Amino acid sequence: MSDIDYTLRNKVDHVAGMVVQLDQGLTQVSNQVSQVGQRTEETRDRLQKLAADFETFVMIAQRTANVQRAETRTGIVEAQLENQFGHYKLVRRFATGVLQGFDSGLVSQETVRSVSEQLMVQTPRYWLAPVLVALGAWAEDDRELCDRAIQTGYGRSPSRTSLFLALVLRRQGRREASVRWLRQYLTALDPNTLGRDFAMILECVSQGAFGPAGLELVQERLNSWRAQLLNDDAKQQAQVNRWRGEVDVHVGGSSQASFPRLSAVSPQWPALDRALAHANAHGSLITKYTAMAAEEHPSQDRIEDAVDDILDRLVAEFDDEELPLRREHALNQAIIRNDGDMAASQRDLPNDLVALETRLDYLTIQSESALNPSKIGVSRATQRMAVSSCHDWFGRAHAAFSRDYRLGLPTDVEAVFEGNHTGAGVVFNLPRWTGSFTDPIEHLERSLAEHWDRHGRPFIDSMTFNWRKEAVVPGVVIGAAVLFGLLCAGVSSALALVCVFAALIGGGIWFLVLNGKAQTAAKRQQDARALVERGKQDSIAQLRGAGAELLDWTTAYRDADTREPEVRTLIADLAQLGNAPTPYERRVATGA
Amino acid sequence: MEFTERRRLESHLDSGLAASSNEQGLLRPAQRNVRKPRHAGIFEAIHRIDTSLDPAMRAELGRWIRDEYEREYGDVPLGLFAQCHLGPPYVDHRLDLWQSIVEHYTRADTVPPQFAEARTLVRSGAYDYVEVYASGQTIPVLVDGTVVA
Repeated sequence: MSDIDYTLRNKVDHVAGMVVQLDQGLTQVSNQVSQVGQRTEETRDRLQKLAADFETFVMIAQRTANVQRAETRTGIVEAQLENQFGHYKLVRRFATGVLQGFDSGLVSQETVRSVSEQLMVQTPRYWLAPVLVALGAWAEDDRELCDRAIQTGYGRSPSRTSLFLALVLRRQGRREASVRWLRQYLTALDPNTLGRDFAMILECVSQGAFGPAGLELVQERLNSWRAQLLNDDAKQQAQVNRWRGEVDVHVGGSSQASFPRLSAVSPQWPALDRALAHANAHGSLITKYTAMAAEEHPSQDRIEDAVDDILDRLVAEFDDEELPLRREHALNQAIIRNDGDMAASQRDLPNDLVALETRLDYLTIQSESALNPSKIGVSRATQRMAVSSCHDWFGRAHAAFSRDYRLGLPTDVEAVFEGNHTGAGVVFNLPRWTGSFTDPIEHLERSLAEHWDRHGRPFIDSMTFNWRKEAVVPGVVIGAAVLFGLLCAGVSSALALVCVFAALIGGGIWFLVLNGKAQTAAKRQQDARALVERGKQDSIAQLRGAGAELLDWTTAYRDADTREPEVRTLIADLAQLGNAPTPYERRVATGA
Repeated sequence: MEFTERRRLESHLDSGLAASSNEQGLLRPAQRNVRKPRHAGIFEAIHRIDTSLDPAMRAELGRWIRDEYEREYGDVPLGLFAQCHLGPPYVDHRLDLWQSIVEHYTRADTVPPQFAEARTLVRSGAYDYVEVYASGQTIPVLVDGTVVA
């Protein structure tokens, strides 16, 4: 009897040991699964970071290669320019020297003549060389040579020769002859296909380089061209588009770094970021154009100095032959300026390239004088005058720009939390939660908390130890043992006693085992509850942070957007600058 | 008539009107005139039609505004959209120039599809009102009368 009892007890102990081992094994597996999940998350994060780092690396390498290539090409193009057109520089320098020589009387006529003839031989296609021969012949009073030289220069570049002579004659006080050349220059022009040298006319107007008769002639012609071209809606729209390009240049960068939480949870973030970057353009435009409006441009004391400056620019102008190389040079410079960013270079480029195009309409020359003064070769004073003339297009482009980014504002800003936004969410596959920031933040927090509670509860409940389920088998076994014992009571009371006793012992052991499992389950459930609670709090903190950042974004956007009327006022002020007296008018007032 | 019921009816009228107007080619925009700044008389009439409770007066003002648009700018909008000054729950309203009806909307209300862009622009607070044309063109008008077109 005692053998049976002993054997049975051993078996039950063995079974209990196996159950405990199984339970420990299960706990271990559960922990391992959880660790694997965590490591998978870490691995994925690292992979994402690695991919991002790699993309950045590739981009930087590409840009560095672009810059190196552009620098190499710049060197080659500069060498080609020097090789092919370097001698033009000599002619340009000589032209300036001749004009100064005329003033001071320090240069002999023979020198002028011999050097100009030498340059004529060295630069067979350049318009300035024969014009310098003409100047030398004029100084020597050799009319026949002068006429032939002017005809040659006119044949090479009618517009530049006419303008050069108009300015030189004006400089020498030969006003009637100067106006005749000016008329010659203007008559030959088509306002739809002007050369870049026409920007010099704007320069002359802003500097007052022509006398009253010349100015009147130019103004009359410019006004009629403007009226003629403005009848063409397409041409007008082209200028508005050009100014839109200028406004777009002022769009700020992304402010994602300032709004990390909002950008992480809101699908509307790209639209918000774009709107803020665009609204920041107003501040940048105000800075640039307020400085321009406030600039003082004192006029030269002597009209000769003003004319000299313009002549310098005219003779220093790139010749048409040089343009392809100059264009390539501009392209490479844009790439270097933008640190190899080809997209930014392309954005930079059209303005530069347009300024280097050979033929432009009058409206475009005005816009280019305003937007790319250095490329088209006009002074800052002329640039300001051109901005003033273009105020209508500038205003329209800016108004359309403001309308467009405002149209892009999302009507609703949402917060979206995917299941993997916290570690806890991953463990029990938390479904996506979406809320709109149009609701008060308290409502959103409550909704998010309820979402966590609703989906976290089944996870926590699944860890509850089910006494009823677990106790079925031992209950049946013990009951059967007791029943068997009672049935044996008629045969052998000792056997019955042993059965009941064994059942009670087994039941007790089984209870201890199940109780141990229940305590383990309760501990795990407590851990799970804490995990869900931590996840919930983390989630709510993210939501709260995003809500606070949305408030900050709204303030930043409103501050930037409300500067739009300032830009409109500034453009109106710039328009008024066009009515300011030109240096020429001031000279008339002082009797110069 | 209930508010929602009236809105449904007006939308129906609008779409019918737009269709017939398109057929007649009456609402084709004259671009150069459309860019002309809106004059103070229009602003005043819009304000009066917005606040007037007398249907006859509103109809009269609506007709006057339509005539002004036709004469000055060569095109008449389907309607005008602006911020509502009635206060909560209304945030914006639509002025139907052809029916001389003002329809107020709460934030949750949806507006007719052709007015959706106008609503976004009005919410920016930068424009006095926004004109919506049958051609689909949406033209915001600034407080000084200049238009963005």
